[in-house]
Amino acid sequence: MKDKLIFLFTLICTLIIFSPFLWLVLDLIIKGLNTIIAYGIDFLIAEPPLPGDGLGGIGTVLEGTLFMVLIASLISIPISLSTAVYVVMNERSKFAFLFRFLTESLLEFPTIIIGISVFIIFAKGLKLGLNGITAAIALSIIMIPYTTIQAIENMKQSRDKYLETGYALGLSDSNVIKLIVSEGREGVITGILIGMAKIFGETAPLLFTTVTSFNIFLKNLFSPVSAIPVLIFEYAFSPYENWHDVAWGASLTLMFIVIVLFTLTRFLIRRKI
Amino acid sequence: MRSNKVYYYYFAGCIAVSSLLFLIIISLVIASIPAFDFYGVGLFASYFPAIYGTIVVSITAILIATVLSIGSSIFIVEYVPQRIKGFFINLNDLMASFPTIVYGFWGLYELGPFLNSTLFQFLYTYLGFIPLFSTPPTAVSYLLASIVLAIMITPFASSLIREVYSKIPESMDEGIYALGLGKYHVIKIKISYIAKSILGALTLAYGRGLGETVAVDLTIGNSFIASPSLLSTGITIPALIANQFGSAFTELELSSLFSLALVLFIIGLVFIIAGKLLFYKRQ
Amino acid sequence: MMEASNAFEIYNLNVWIEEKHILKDIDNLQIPKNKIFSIMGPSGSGKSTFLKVLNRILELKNRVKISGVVKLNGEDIFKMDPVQLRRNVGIVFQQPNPFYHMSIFDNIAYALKANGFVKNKRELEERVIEALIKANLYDEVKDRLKKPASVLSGGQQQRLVIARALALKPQVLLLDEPTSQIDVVGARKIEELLLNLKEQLTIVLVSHIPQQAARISDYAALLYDGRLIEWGPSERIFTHPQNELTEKFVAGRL
Repeated sequence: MKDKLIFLFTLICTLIIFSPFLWLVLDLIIKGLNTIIAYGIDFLIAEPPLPGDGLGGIGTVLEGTLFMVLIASLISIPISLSTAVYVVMNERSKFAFLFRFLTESLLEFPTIIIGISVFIIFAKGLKLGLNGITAAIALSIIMIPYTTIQAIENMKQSRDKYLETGYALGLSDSNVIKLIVSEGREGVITGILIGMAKIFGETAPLLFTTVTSFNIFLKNLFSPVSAIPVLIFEYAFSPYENWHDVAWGASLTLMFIVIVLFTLTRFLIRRKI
Repeated sequence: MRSNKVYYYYFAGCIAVSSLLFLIIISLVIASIPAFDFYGVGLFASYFPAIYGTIVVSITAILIATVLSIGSSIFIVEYVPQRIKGFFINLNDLMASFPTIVYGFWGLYELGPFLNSTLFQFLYTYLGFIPLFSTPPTAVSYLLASIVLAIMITPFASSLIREVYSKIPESMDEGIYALGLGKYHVIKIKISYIAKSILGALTLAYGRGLGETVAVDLTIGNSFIASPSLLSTGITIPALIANQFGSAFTELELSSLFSLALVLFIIGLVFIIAGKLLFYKRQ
Repeated sequence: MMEASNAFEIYNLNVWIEEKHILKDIDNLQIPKNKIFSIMGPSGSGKSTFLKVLNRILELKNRVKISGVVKLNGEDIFKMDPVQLRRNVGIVFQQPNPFYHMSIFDNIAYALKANGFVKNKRELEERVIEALIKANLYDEVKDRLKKPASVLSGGQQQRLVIARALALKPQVLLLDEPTSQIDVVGARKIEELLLNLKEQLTIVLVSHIPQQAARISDYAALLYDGRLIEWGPSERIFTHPQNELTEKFVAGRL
């Protein structure tokens, strides 16, 4: 009797938690496709519409998002990799433990806090202003812990396999590290993809680090640009139906990007095992 | 045997990470000073509705998430057949890494109206005599924000719990069955075995919920009031900061928002550290 | 009358795990009551699988197929409620698996309470202490019954697990290489314990060490590659084995 009740209870919990998500995905597909089909494939390159003035695209913010994620990745990959190598190669040292702990804590920081700090330090303090670069700095801080931790976990495995072999073959320190990194590269790439998936959808920090006007294409590195999540956020609050429709299309686009990255990571992880 | 020279370069990355952390803290502290100077502790009294809302929403959400995350991780580990376990795990982890803005947008336009005409209406009609459900339901409310937040943090907590739960050696199951006990007791004993890690996972999930900004912002209604009713609209600290940041013109206004962020950060940090210590503590 | 003197009778037993044929035609094997019956064999011979069939704990695993007849006191175990069967046929595994997070007392008390075997707290305490005494563990732990089981040594943990099984007053106790993960002194204590216990119940012991089987068992059987090679009274098996494989194994050459 109790055995049946616990089965029923956990089954219901599982249904309750998964069904809203399936509903959400279905909604996104239906409403998002509706918008994209109505406007055509230009949705991905055109400018957003004026309020109440028919449909438009998300070209400007898609460009902004890609730009920010690219810059953020360029900033965070070297930092993550070198931190990961240090932690993996000095696992027993107190420093390595401390760095790992700090990185893990950074991962749990509310992202709004990171946005605010970047605003204070970079936008105001260093007078960088509100633009794609400032936003990318905030995103890179969010990305670093995801990438670092994944890289550490994966390089540990290749370290255990190759550290002694490497030294036994008379390789130098830097060559042993190269060997370990290249053997763990799928894990490192997985980490980068996970980090990217995370920052593609980040909204809160961008509210403090870039502008919320959506009709500007990039002119140079420092031109003010916005991103897809910010557009969804602002349009959701607006009273205009046509903006809501664009936001559904933008949400579907975002979901598509995230699912592609997620699937890639799962694929890489499976191949490794 | 190994020279340490090579590691200097790699050490640089570590220094960057740790200095980032301290820069974040120091910048927040410095930016908060003007507000503290001007208002003193009274500053927080004036933001009471936001502090209250943060507590209400995060606690309601974690209560929902506690039940659902424990229940669903048990289901996935104990009952889902091996062949399709991967599907459930991937679905759960995809949910955990899904953009929060999408949850919020969907919560505002789809889940909100649906719950408003069903659950919220029901609670108000039949349980309205309890202060907790005493205000007429609106499409956005503390409760909607809590539910959306719960949908977001449950998969996170669930994946942490599942990770520990599935690592319990099979000998534990066998030992329990060997005593002529059924599945119920298998689950009960295993859950009590990892109780500390579960508490840690939920603490971490709570910390995550505290800082969530946009999804809550979209679904809570953004009215600067503190109501005892979960069906009322309200505000949280992150939502308030996000809303007022654009319109804050004076240094003092900005500084006040930063001091709120600092408070949020410190509370969050306590939960992060407590959660990590509990979660990774040896059983 | 022969019927009543046997705890288990096995006919035509075949077991497949994930399509792999693990036990092959184990036929006409009788395990007498109140004796120690040793199952010997090299690793991979199917000894543990055989043991786990006897209280149907093997069936909890995925994709297990079992055919044949196993009788306990003349009754087909595959027609019994497995939960009921397991209360009657206790099992102890290689690796001690106490509930580490529970107190020594609760380790034993849990199943008694959950199975509804005791009426009140006094009876519970009596049963727990009785089980600890039976398992030769009481004197070593009587002052720290509230401490978690994780404070015990490996040998003590294994005896706690035996006590946990004994508390349910089973008719049969199955042991799967119970001393292989334990130091010599601890192993000796467990062997002595088993010799004392056979007055009260039937013991089926899986062992990969012929010397241990020779020391304590009344009957012995040899499994090799999933087949029953030979079985009989220990005396005969260890002094006049009929099969060449048995001879080799007993001499330590297999």
